[in-house]
Amino acid sequence: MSEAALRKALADSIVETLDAMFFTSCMGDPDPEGAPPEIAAQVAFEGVRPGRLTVRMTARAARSMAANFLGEEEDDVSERQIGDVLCELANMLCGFVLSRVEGAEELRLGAPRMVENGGPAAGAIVNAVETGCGVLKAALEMEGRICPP
Amino acid sequence: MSYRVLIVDDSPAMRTFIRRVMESSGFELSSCFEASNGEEALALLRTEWVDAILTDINMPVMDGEGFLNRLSQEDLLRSVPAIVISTDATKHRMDRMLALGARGYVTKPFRPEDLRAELERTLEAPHAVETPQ
Repeated sequence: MSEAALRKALADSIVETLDAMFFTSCMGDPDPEGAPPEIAAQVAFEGVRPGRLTVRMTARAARSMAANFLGEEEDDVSERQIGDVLCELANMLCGFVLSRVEGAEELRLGAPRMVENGGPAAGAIVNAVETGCGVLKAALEMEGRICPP
Repeated sequence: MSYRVLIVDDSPAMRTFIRRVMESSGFELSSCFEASNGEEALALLRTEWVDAILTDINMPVMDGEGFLNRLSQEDLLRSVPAIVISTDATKHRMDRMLALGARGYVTKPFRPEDLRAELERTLEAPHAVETPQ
């Protein structure tokens, strides 16, 4: 699959997942002056092209998303619930993208986990959106060379 | 008519979401049970009857594949319809889970109405012919 196709799959995964399961619409590109992401969750995957997908969000955006997902007030959502929802988001984005990889085999995803927030590795495919209450960044890293567009 | 449903998923957030969307989409639940893996689900099914099971695939202890396998071996449980809810949208995986006895398959992300439609389709369908002994 080409880099362009992976970029599109990653962008589509965010739009469709936020819309269907978080009842939130993407509001375009993030504000360059906005707060940077503070927390992150990651899913590793195996297969012909192993790699990992990492989701990074601002704390405010993560709390708001968790509240939407769980149907609770933002103030009632615990840190543990926020982490659980962020992990589930990473899992869904990863599954969405990999399921669309041409000729995809059965997925072999690891358990999603919270990770230290750092920048994406060089060569990662990154998509960032404004959620209305903070930025969401997803980075897909795959071993081996990705075909250029 | 209202139904008794078992949700099997290792993510408490996903279990909450599934329960919530069933209720908000107008699906009538009389009881909703939860388990975090296939082994817990089997233990629960020894004491509680359910009309339908919604199960994830990737879970620790006993995954969805092992769970469906065990269900198919239990005389009292093999007729309970199970729907797989998974991020894996590959045809190979779907075919394998259906071959293991799943009556439906919903890929994440899904809309509440998609889950309700699959539940209703599964519950209204005549039960599959029992596997010969």
